[in-house]
Amino acid sequence: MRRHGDKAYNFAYRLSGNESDARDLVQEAFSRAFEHRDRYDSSRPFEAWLIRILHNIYLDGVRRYEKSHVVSIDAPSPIEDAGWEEILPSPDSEPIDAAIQKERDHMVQNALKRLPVHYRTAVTLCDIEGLSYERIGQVMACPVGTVRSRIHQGRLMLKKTFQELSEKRQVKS
Amino acid sequence: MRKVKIIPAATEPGTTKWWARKWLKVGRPETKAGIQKDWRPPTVLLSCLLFLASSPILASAAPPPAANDLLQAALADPQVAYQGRVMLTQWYGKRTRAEEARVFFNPPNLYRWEFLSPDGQISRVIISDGSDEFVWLPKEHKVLKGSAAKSSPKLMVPELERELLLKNYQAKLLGPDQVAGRTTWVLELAPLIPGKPHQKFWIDQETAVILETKRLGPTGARAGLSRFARFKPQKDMSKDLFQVKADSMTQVIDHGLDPDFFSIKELRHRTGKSLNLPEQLPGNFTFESGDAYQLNEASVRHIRYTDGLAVLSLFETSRPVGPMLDKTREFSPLATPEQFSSGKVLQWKKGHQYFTLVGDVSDELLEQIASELKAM
Amino acid sequence: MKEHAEASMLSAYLDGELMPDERPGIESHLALCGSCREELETLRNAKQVLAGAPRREIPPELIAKLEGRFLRPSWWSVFKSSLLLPRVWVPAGAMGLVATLLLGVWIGWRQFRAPELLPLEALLAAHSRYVAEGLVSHGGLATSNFSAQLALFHTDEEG
Repeated sequence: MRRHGDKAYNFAYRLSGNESDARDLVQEAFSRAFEHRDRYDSSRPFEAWLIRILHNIYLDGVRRYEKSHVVSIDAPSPIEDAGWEEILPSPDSEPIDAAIQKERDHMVQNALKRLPVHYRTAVTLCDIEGLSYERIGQVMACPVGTVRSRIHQGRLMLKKTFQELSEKRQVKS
Repeated sequence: MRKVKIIPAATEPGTTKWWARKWLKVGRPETKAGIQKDWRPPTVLLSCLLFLASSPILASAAPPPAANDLLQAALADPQVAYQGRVMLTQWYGKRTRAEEARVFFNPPNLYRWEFLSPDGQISRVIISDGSDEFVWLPKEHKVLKGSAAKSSPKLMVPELERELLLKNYQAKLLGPDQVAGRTTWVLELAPLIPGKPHQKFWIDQETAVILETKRLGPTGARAGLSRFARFKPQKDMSKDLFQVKADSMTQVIDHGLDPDFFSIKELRHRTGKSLNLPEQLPGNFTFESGDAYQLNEASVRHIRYTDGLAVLSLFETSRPVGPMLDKTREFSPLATPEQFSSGKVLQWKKGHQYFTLVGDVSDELLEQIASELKAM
Repeated sequence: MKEHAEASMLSAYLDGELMPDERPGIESHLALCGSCREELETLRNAKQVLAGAPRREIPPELIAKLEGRFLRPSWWSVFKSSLLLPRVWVPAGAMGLVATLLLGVWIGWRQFRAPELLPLEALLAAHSRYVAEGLVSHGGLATSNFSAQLALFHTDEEG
C-alpha cells in the first residue's frame, strides 16, 4: 500500500503542483479504485490502473486546479548565480544540500506547471515515474505514437523554460 | 495492447448475439490547452498569394497562381479563424447521405462541427481542442473520446506524402469560381492511373481555406461533396466553443479507434505474429503504417497504404467481419466489392485469418490488389 | 541516413523506445550529425533534471487514513477464511465440482457455435478515422463518416 501510495502521491504532486491537491487526488483515486475493483483487470499492473484513475480524476477537475494555482517564476532562489546546468544531478553526486534539493524541486515544478496538461502527464510518467511508452499509452488512453510526440514536445518546452529561468537568474545577478 | 469494445446500444436479435455493455467511466468531460503543431505552414508562399489576392487592382488582373503552389497552400492548415455552414453529401452505390453542419475553426487545430438532423436539432458535435477529439452525442448523454486528427505525426513524413500525391495525380488549375459569395480558385487533382478517385477543390482566394471539395469515383460518378453555404472569417473565437459542456449525467468513453503509426517490423515485434506484406500495391499504393488492437476480444491488424490521396485499409482479423447494423441482410462474406459510405469493401479468408480490404478505387483495381495480397 | 532523423525519434532513442532495427540508423546518423547530437544532449539534460527531482513521499497521516479505509477486513476476506472450516469446505467442494462440469459443457458448446461476427462498421470507422489523418483534406467528409459510424453504435433509436 505504501509503495503504491508513494508513486501515486508523487505523480499527483507533479501533476497538480501542490501538496493539498495531491492529497485529495490520491484519496479520490484510491476511493474510486476500491469502488470499481471488480473492473480491475488483474493481468495488468495495479499501479498503472491506479495512476490512470488518478489521471482521469485530475483531468475532470483540471480547470478547478489550474485556476487556483498561479505559478510565479520570479520566486527568489537561494542560489543566485546558478544556471540550470549546475542544478543537474551529476553521475557521481554526493548527498546534496537541502537548499539545492529545494531549488531543484521548485524549478522542476515551475517548469512542469507551464506545460499543457497532456505534455506534463506524458513527461512526468516517462521521466519521473519511468513508465514505458506502452504503459503511458494505457494511462492516457492514446496511441503510442501520440505518447512519443507528447513526450518530445514536452521536453522541448521544458528546455525552453529552463533556459528562460536561467536567463532570468543571470539578469538578476 | 489496445482493447476496443464496439457493441451496438440497441439490444436487437440479429445473426449474432448482443450482450449488455458494462461500460465505463461516468464523469465530466475534460478541457485542455491546445498544443503546438510540428507542421510549419508555407508562410512565404501564403503571404505571396495573400498579397496577390489582397490588392484590388491586382485582384482582377492577377495572374492565377501555379497549380502546384496553390495545392501547397491548400494542403497547409488554415491560418485564419472562421465559422460557417457546411453541406455534406455522399453517394455510395444506390444510396445517398446528406448532412448539414455548423462549423467553427480556430488555428492551429481547434474545431467544432455541429451536425444537424433534418428537424434542425443537433444530432452530434465533434470538438477538438487540438489534442483530443470528442464525439458528443447530446441526446444519448455520451461523449466518445479519442485523439484529435493530425495531433501526432504519421510514419510517413508530409513531404513524402506530397511527393506521392504529385507522382500519382496531376494538379490542374481550372480557373476562378464563386462559393458562398466568395471568390475562389478551382483546383483539380486528376489520377494518372485509371480506377482512382478525382478530387476538386475550391480554394478561397483571400484565406486559402478550402470552401468546397468534390470527390468523383473512379467511373466519374459523384462520390462526395462538401460545400460551405456560409463562410465568415473571424478575428478570434472563444475557447469555450472548443470545449465539451455536457451535464453530469454524461458518460465519457474512450472509443479506442485512433490510429497508431507503426512500421511492418514494429508491428511484427509488437504482435509477435508473422506478417508478410508488400511495400507497394497495384495502383502505386505505398505502405504507410499499421497498428494492432483487440476488438470485442478478437485481434485486429489494420494496415494502410496510400497514393497521396486515396487510402487503402487492409484489416486482418481472427474472426469474420460483417455488417451488424444493417438488419435487412444475412451475413455472407463480401466476395465481390461492395460500396459503403466509407469506401468499397472486399473480403476473403486465408487459413484462420479473415481479411477485409477497404478503398475508394474501381472494382477492377480492388480485385487486382486483393489478388496480390492473397498471393503473399 | 543522410537526412536528419524525425525529431521525436531522438526522444524515443533516448528512452530506449525505438525498435531494434531503427536503432542502427539513428546511431549512424548521430555519429555524423553534430546538430542532432546537440539536440539529443539537450533532451537528455531535460530528462535528467526531471529524473533528479526529489521524490515526494506520501504523508504518513494520509497513508494511515487510506489503510484504515481500504484494508479493513472486508466481507470477502471473512468469507474466505470461513471456507477453511471443514463444514463449509466439503459442500463447497461438491458444488465446485458441479460448477466445473457445467463450465466444461458450456465451453464445449461455445466452441461448436458459429464464431462471433465482428462489426464491419467498426472497421469502416477506423478506416474513416485514418482518412482524416490524410494530407489532403476531404472537407469534413471523413469526420462526418467516422462520427456517424461511431454514433450508430451508441444510439438507441431505430435507423
